[in-house]
This record gives sequence, structure tokens and C-alpha cells, in this order.
Amino acid sequence: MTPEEIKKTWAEAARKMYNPTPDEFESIFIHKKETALERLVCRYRRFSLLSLSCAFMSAAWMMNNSLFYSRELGHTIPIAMIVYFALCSLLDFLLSRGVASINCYKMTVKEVIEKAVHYRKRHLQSMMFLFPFALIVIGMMVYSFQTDVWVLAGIFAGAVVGFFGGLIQFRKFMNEYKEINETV
Amino acid sequence: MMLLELEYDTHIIKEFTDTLKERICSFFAALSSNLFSNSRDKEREFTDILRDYGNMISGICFSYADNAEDIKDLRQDILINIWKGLNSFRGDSSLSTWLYRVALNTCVSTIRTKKRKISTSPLEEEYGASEDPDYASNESIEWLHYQISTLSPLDKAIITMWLDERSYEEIATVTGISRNNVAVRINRIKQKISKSI
Repeated sequence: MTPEEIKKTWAEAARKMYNPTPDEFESIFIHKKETALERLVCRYRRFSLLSLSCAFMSAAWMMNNSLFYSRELGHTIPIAMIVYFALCSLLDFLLSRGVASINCYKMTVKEVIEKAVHYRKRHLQSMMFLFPFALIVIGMMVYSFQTDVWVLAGIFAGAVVGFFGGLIQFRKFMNEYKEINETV
Repeated sequence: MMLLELEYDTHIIKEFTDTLKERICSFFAALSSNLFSNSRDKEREFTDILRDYGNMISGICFSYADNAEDIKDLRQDILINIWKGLNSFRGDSSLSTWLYRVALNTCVSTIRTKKRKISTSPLEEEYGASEDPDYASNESIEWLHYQISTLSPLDKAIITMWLDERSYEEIATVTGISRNNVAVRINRIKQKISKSI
């Protein structure tokens, strides 16, 4: 196919392509829909707030409860939980700010691609750090309560639920960046 | 005497409050008519853009989407971004350049999953293959779409603008690479497409 034939085929496809209809206006003017990028930013902010509240709850629990205090580890487990959730909150907050800084009106296409790839990498890197951290905290809990079967069962159930929930959320996040090519 | 003075003061206060009321009412009347006419102007401008550039927007979505559903989603996102950004467009560049920038940036910043639903609507819905007797032409469109889908997001942007017969300078402005780089990339893409025939 010569370049002229390719352009002809393209012109044919463009001619046949339907124009946006007035019905599509309704969702913009009346329903005030958000773009996928805005939804991603909101999702990061929501998780940041959720993690921050978990950090506060861990701190409150630590002060009021001696459940996670053990002779061998002391207060290490609740402190580790507070640090973990605080880190999660901070990383999500930084990612939300970064993704929100993508400006479709002023940036060039190359800049937008580079930013999107950059924040995808940061997200993957943070998951690579946080996931083992979570496993270490769970491991410490198992070690502390190895004699208590019911606590172990609760920890195991929570870990399984948390693992699959985290995996689903991780896949959802990655789906937003999935097809960005890393070579610009 | 004191009564006369008091009456005079009351009269002044009354005059002052009446003037103030009048000014406040005329301010809000002007504000609301201004807002309403601005809103109407914006809607009119938006409608004009869709009439003149609707095919261009659909063509960009065609390059970045895998199926008809993705085209609709992308087009929706692009329209939302155009609507939101209309007020900030100052005429620094031509309207078409600005629209290309917004549309392409929306596409590259919004990654769609390859949905594994069985009932995913095919691309043909967008260009009406089922009723079209010119089957050979639709095969070419499908083939071209497949070739474009194998390109990187930046190359898709370049080839889409080249197929719309935009100048190399405009492509360089929108994509953020040099004019020479644009020419080299277009050459490379044309060779790749030619080899695959």
C-alpha cells in the first residue's frame, strides 16, 4: 500500500466514523462526568485517607490495648503497623499529586507520556517495597501469637482477605497505565 | 429644630439605602445576564467545535481504542476535557493544534484495559461495516487499525496527525519532538507498514 492509499483508507474511515451526538452533551453538562485520569486521582486520594485513618486507628489501638504487646517484640508490631500505614498514605498522596499534575492543555504528548510512565514506575516501586513490609508485619504477628490458635486463625483470615483485596486493587491501578510504552 | 434635623437624617439614610439596593440589584442582574450569555456562548462554541472537528476527534479515538466501547469512552473523556478547557484557551496556537493536543494527551494519559468480555462490541460498529456493501474498503480500514495499534503511543499520535495531513511543524509542536525527528519517525512507520503487507 502506498502512502496515498493509506491516507485514502484513513480518509474513508474518518468519513464513516460517527460524529458525536447531542446525547453525549448531557453527560458533560448535566451529569458532570469525570475523565478516567480524574477518577484515578480521586482513587489515590481516597486510599491515602484510608491508610492515614488506619495509621491513627493502629496508634489508638496500641495505646488502649495490650493485644499486640509481646514479651519478645514489645511494641514493635503496632509501631510497624503505624509506620506501614503512614507510608502507604504518603505514597498514595504523592502519586495523586503527581498524576494530577498531568496537564492535557499545556503539555506536549511526549511530556504526558513521560509523566505517566514515571508515575507508573513509582507505583510499581512502592508496591515492591510495601508488599514485603506487610509480609514482615504479618510474620511478626504469627511469631508473637504462635501459641494462640484463634489469634493465628484471625491473622491468617485477615491476611488472605487483605492479600486478595490488595491484588484486585493493584490490578485496577495497573490497568490505568497498562498500555503505556516505556520507550518514548 | 431637633425634630427637623432628625427628619433630615432619616431622609438621608433612606436615600442611601435605596441607592445601595438599586446598585446591588443592578449588579446581580448584570452578573447573571453576563454568566448566562457566557454560558450560552461557550455551549455554542463547543457545538461548533464538534461540528467542525468531530471526525478528527473520532479518528484519534480510532487510533487508540481497541473496540467501539473504548472509542465511546475515549471520545467522552476528550469532550469533557475540551469543555473544561475552553475557557483557558487563549488563542496562543490555532484551535486545531489545541484540540489535537487535548485529544492526544487525553488518549495517552488514559489507558484502557483489554477487556475480556465476550460481548465487547467490534470496531465495525463505529464505521458501519454491517450495512456497507464495500467490504474490501472495510478490510483495509481493519488492516490499517491493526497496523496503528502495534505502534507506541507517541508514534500513534504522529501517524494520526500525518494521516490528517497536518504539517510536520504542527506535529512537532503537539508531540514535543523536533521536526527532523517527526520526519524520521514517519518514514520509519511507513516502512514498517509497507513491510507488513
